[in-house]
Amino acid sequence: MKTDHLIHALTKDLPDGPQTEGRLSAARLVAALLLSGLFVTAMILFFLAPSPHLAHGPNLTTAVTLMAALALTICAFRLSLLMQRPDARIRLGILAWPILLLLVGVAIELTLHPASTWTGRLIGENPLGCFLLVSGLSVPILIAALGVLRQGAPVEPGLQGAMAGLLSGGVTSMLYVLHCPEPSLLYIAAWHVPAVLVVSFIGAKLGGRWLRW
Amino acid sequence: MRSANRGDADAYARLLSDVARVLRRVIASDSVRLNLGSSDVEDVLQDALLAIHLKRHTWDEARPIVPWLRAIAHYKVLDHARRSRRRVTVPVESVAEIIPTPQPEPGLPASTGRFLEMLPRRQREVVEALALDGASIREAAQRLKMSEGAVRVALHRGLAALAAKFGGSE
Repeated sequence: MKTDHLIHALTKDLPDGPQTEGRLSAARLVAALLLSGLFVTAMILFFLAPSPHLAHGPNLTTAVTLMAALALTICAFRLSLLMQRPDARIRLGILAWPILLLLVGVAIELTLHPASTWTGRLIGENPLGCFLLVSGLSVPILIAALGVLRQGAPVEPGLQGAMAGLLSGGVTSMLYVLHCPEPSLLYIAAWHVPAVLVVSFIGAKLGGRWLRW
Repeated sequence: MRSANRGDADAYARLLSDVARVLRRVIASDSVRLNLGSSDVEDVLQDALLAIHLKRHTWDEARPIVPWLRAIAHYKVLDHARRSRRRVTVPVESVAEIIPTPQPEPGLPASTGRFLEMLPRRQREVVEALALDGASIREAAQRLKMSEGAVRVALHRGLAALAAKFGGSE
């Protein structure tokens, strides 16, 4: 086919009025996260025991976990949307905020508790279960996010996928506070963070395949 | 492009022809750097034009359009280079032969022709009627005995499928 012919066909494919398609990718991404997040919340509430800490109001661990997860979610959300544009300049620096928050929380915890308890806090009771649950529960959210992000034009599909992984990991980490029985930020840093990174890696692999355009 | 986003087809046609002319040169020089054959240039260009069309919502109207166009072209050149590296190539041409002479519109049929034959019949007929025969939506609808709405849908799906074929082609 000649290029001029292709151009002719393309101009015929304009909608009559102003186009609305694809405009609201922020709203769509929020909707996808809410729906899949609701699904994951239902899974947690139905199949997992509620966290024993919820009854006593927020403690240091849940508060810092929530804050760091929220910060991660916001940063990854912003970056994910930015990457949808091929001409965007991506600065990954803001991802330092959630890490910083968590590290400050860990530092506070370490000063509050004697060193003899640190190992117990680090290992917790079921670290592998936590790791697998957080990464597993993130997958539906990751899939939903990738479904929306397919509309975009990321010049680095793998990176876009990794960012979607961080985003879904952040959302899951917020929801997982509903269940997590461990009282320690040291534990969160040691087991949740790798889980989020694994999800990000899965996202990068999937993104490299699904987000090409 | 702003006019095109409001539905102005004439402005859109002018924009795409201008863009095609500039991008053909840009892609040609990129292709030389990446050791792509000159026959690939028109392929990459058509792929880029399809992407510009199908991804036009990713351009922010408040920002300059040239960096956006360049980013798409660059991505498509790299994408083709990545794929052609995997394909077994026989490097027979010397660099001097590869350097493309800028042509207004090479008569060579690009891969779109081949991909077109892989589309479902309805989509292929609609794209052919509009692209090759230069028909309008209404003429195509009459000729193919479809409603105008169905022609629009088939055209849009056909173009999206063409773009996908570019993405998946070896």
